[in-house]
Amino acid sequence: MNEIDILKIPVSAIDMADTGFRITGTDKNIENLVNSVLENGLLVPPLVLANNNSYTIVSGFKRVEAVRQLGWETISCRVLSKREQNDPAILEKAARMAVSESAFTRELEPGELIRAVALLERYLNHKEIAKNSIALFNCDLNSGYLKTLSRLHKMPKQAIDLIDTGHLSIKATKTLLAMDKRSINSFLGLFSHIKVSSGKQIEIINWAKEICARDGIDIPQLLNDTLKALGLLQTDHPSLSVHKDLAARGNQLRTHLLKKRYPALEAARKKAAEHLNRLKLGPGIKMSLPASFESSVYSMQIDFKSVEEFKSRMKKLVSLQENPDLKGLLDR
Amino acid sequence: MSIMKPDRVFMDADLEDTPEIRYLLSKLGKSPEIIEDSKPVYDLVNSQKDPISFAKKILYITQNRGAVIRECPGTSHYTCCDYTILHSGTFCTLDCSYCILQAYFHPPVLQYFAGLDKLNTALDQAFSRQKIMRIGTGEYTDSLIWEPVSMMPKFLVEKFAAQNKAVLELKTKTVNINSLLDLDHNGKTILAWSVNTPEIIGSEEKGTAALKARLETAKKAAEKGYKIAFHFDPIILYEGCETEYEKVIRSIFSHVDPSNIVWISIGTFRFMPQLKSVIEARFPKSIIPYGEFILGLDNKMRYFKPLRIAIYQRLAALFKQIAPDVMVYFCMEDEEVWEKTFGFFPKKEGELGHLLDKAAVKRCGLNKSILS
Repeated sequence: MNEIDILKIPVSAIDMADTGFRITGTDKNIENLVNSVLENGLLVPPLVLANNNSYTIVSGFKRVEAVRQLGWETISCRVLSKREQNDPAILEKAARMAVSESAFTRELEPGELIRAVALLERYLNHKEIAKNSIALFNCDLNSGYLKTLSRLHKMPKQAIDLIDTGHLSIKATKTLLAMDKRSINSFLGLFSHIKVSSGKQIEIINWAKEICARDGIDIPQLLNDTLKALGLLQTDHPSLSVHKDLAARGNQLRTHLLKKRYPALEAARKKAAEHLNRLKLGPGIKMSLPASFESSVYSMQIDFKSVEEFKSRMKKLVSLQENPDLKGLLDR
Repeated sequence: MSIMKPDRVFMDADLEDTPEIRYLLSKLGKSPEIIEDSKPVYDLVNSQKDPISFAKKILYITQNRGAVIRECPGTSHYTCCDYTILHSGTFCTLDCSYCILQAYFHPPVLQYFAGLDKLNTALDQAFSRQKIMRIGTGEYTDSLIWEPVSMMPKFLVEKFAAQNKAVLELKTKTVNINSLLDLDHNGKTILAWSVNTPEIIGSEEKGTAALKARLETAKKAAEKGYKIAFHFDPIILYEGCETEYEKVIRSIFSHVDPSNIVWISIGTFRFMPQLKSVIEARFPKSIIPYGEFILGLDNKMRYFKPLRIAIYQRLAALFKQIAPDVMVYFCMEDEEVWEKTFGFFPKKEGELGHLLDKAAVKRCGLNKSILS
């Protein structure tokens, strides 16, 4: 037998429980793939490792599952021969192939990247992985980043699940690394209730951490109280009907924490917004407030397309000088 | 209290064997490791896991290869006091969590700039100008951490005593003034203490003298005729801090008569954004980075302006009540803050500096005729 042969093997001989080489997430929905295989056949044979009486999937978990769902009895696979039982060289080769096959087809998802590093570090150290990263990942990864990914893999499984589902970014998860177990679990619970951008995830984590440090409370307590206050704690909470959108929930929670983290600044912003609304500037007139109210300079911008429009908007501007809300904005 | 007791001393090979060097080495009680250039010191500090802590225990005796006397950099958008810096050394053995020097130098190195001759020449040049100057050594280091081991403070006090155009301000959080007490200072040296509430000193100013000790020392200095200054900088906001800072003010005036105080500065905590992660890493118990900070116009983090104004107004009211004649000023604040706190703003360029020059002339007996 060659090192890799394309063979037709019984589907029943493939050990589906052995997910040692799996780097893709466990996305249950493979309906589209099933339909594609039904329509077009299996375009790329999965890669498997031959054992004594069975086969271990190296790459193509979803394809094998699709074929199983279609009830095929045999499947064409690229079979990687196993020279000896648990031969580390062949296992390392299989690990490299598992990673490269996905990485050279598309950009790896964050969760896949984490699992890929965890898989490779069974056989290679971070320096070796970094040195070979172009060949393995189709991109340059330094050993510091690889170490971080490795640490992330050691976090509770829920963290990787949330990374897989886009609830948590690698960057945000990294900020949780230094925390105690209870705090990490509380944040993981929180992020399972919301979906916001990576930047907002980091803001939420940092603000919560800073509020707790400042007020001498612990993170689980703050997050629990916050979720309760916003009616996001129980999935069957009646108020959830209003907050079904994960992004809306996330923004609501972020705003809540922002007010707690910067109470005076947020109160000033709210007051200024109220004054600004009451000014009713109308179309074509825009007022800009100084950032964080540090400068004392406010600015007004008017857009106009004609002399008439210019006149009418200037008239509106001039009328503002008597408006108590303008005074309210400026007399801070 | 933290004292100058380095684990290792490095010294440039080209430094001459002067009484200043001999005095320094005898006080340090350590043989220096002679080096051809600064690289080994920087490499050593850079190779450490915590270069900042490490650098506090390594002393590098070298020469100032740049300007000895330079203008204080100040920052844009906020009013500067036009101070002049005498560059006598860098970094500090004290360990204040908020210290900007942690993020200012890359890496920080505790350097002593030897060369009293060079200093002498630079000062002679400065004194030859027809200009009132306020000169300090406390910008890049604590002025008096060096006092127990160095001849420089004594040299400077005596040098300034012999002229009447400039005052020397030695700014410190220590009580190291023993070698200065009996000098003939001629009123031209201001001994200045950074002050804070006992709570902040206890939690954020590791290795510094207690407030009580600082004030007792200030009292002792005033009794020896030294003029005194105080710097409430950084004022840190926390629950109940207003009352605590007021207590500090009362305590100052129970130790030192207002007539002996040349000026008092007040300034809330502000920092380069990159300092936050340094504080978090080196002082995990510190909560000072978690105040209500916004990005200021000079790209430094500052407390939200109304919070700054509120504490300033409280303190200014008390200063006005207890010591109306003492010059109280802001280090780096803008027109709105000045107006809302003091009811006026030194708007013209150099106006704040001029006010401070006037205070120096009045309290320290400088030549009034050259006050511009």
